[in-house]
Amino acid sequence: MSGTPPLLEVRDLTVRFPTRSGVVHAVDGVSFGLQAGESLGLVGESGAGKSVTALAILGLLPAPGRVVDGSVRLRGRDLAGLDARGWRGVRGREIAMVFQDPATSLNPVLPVGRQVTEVLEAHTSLRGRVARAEAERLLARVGIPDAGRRLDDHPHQFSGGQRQRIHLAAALAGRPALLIADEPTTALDVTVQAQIVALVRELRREMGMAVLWITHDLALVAGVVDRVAVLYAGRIVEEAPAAALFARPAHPYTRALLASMPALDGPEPSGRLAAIEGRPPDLLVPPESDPPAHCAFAPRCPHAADLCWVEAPPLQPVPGGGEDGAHRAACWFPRSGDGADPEGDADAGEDPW
Amino acid sequence: MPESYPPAPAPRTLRGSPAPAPRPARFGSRLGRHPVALAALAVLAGLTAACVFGPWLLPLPPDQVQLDAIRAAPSWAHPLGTDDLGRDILARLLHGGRYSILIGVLAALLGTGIGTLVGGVAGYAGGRVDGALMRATDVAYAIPALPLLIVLASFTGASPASLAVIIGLLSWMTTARVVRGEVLALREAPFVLAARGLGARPARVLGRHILPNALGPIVVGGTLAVGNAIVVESSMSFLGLGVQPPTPTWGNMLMDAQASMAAAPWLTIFPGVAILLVVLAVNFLGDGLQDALDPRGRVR
Repeated sequence: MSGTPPLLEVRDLTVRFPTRSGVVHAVDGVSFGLQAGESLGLVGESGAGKSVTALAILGLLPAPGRVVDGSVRLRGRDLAGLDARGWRGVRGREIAMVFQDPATSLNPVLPVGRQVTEVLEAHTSLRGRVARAEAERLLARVGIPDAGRRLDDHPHQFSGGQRQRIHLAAALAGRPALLIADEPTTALDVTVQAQIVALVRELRREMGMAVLWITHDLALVAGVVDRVAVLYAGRIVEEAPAAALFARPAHPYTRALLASMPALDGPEPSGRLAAIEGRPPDLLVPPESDPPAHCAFAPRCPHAADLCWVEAPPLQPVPGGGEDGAHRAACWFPRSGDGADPEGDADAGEDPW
Repeated sequence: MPESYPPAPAPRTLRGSPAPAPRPARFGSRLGRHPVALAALAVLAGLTAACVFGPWLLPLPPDQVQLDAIRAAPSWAHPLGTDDLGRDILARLLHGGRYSILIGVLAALLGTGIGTLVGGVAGYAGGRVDGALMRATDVAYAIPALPLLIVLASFTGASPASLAVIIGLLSWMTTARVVRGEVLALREAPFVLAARGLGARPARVLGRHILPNALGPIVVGGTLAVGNAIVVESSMSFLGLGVQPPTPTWGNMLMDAQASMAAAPWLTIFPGVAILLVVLAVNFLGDGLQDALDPRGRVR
C-alpha cells in the first residue's frame, strides 16, 4: 500500500454475537478496500453477513454484536477509536447508508422535507429556508415530481419507489464520499428496481462518490459495480472485477449463484432453474466447541475433496486471474469442473468431478 | 341495455402523470372525524369558559352567606340551590372549577412531562441508566400515594399550586413505564437506525424520531392524568386536606355536602356531575387525539 490510503479499508473484520446458546460468528475475517469513486458489490445470500458488515463499518451493530477483531479505516483513520462526536462527523458526512425497506426507513410522522433538512442541518451550514430549498432540489434530483409542493407530505403519501428515492435524497444530503446501499431495491417492483439502480449509478458519477452495494442479486449489480466480493458464511469467498467474475467465476459457490440466475436475453430456460443444494451453514458456535475448520461451502460443494474437509482455504489469487492478482478466490480447487480453464490442470488429479 | 352505457373514460397512458396524492388530512380535520371527541372538546371548552368568566357574570360571589336561604332547593334565584351557609352552589361550582381544572391540567402536564423524560431516557439509553431509572420508578410506584400526599400537603400547606405540583410529582410513573416500552420498540425501528446512520445526535433521535412516534400513548396518558388529578384533588379536599375553605373546589364542596346528602341532594349531585363530566370529556378527547395525532390518519 503506497501513496494515499484507500477511501475505505476493511481488514480482517470479525463480528460476533454472543448469545445464550453460543456465539454467532456473523462476519469472520472479511477484508476489502474501496477507492474514492469506486463501487464494490457485496453479494451473498441471507445471513452471509452482508448487512452486519455494513453496520459494523458505521459502528451501528445491534446488541449484542461486537467487532472482536480487525479494523475499519476511512482514509487511513481507524474508526474504532471514534467517540460519539467523531462518529457524527463520519455518519452521513463521509459514509451514508440506505436501507432495505423504504416503508420503515423513513420516520412516519415527520414530513419528508424535514427528514432531508435534518441531515443538512447536521452536516452543512444550511438552515431554515435555504435548507428547505436545498431539500427541494435534492428531492427533485432523485426524481420526486413536484418536489416543492410535497415537502410537507408524510412518507405514507408516497409510493415505495418514491420513498426509496426520498431516503436516498436524505442520505445524499451530507454529500458523503461513500454510499452504502444495503439491498435498497429488494422491497421494490422489478421495474422500480431498475430505476433506482440507474439513479444510484447516475448520482455516483455526478457526485464522484464510492458505492458499496449490498445485494443477494448478482444480476442486479452486474452493470453497476466495478468489483464484486462474494460473501459466504461470513467470509469473502471470491473477489474480482465484475466482468471477470461473471465471465470466469472461480469459486464453486459463485458459479452456483450464476447458474441459478435465469438469463433474460438467453434462450428459454428449459425446465427448472438450478438451485444450490443444501442450505447455508449455521454460524452459531455452541459454547465449549470450536467453529468448524473445514471450508464452509464444502457440505454443499459438488467438488469437495478431502482437503476441503480438513482446512478452510485462504483467499488467494486465482491462477490466470490477471497479473495483479485482482481475481481472488477462497477455494483449494478454483474453477474445478470448468472445462474451459486452461490453468486448472494442476488440480485435475484431485478433482472428483 | 348495452348501447346506453356511457362512453368509457379515455385510458390513462402508462407515461401519463400519476394522479396527485391526496392532500394530507390536517390535524383538525382528522380530529373532526371523531364526533365524540369533538363533543368532549366542546364540553371541556364550555365548562372551562364558564369557570373562567362565569363568576364575573353571576350576581352572587361564591362566599356570600345568606342566612335566609340555607340549603335552598334549586330555584330561579339559585339555579343549583344553596349550601349549609346559604351560599349559591352555581357560583361556588364555577369558582371552584377554576381550581379543580387548573390543578388537573397542571398536575397532568407535570406528571406527563416527568414521565416522558424518565421513560424516554431510560428506554433510549438502556443498560444501567435504564435499570436505575426503572427501579426508581418502581420505588415511586410502591409508595402509597394518598398517605404521602396527605403528609406532603400538611407540610406545604394546601394551596392549589402546591397541590398541583405534589399530585404531578406523584403521578409520572405510569407514563414513564409506557413511554419506556414505546421507546424500547422504536429504538430498533429502521428509521431510527437510518437517522443515527446519517449522523443525528442522540437528543435529536429521541426528540424528533422516537418521541413523536410515541406521542399517541403519551397524550392519552396525559389526558387520563387530567381526570385522575381532578379526582385525587377531590379526594384530598374531601378528606379536608386539599384546598382549604373558604376557597371552593369541587372536592371540598363534596366534603361539605356529605352531612346533608339525604336532606339536600343537590349539594352532592352538582359537584359530582361536574367532576364526572370533566373526567369523561377529557378521556374521550384523549381517545380522539390519539387517532388525530397519527398522520396516517387511520380511523379505527
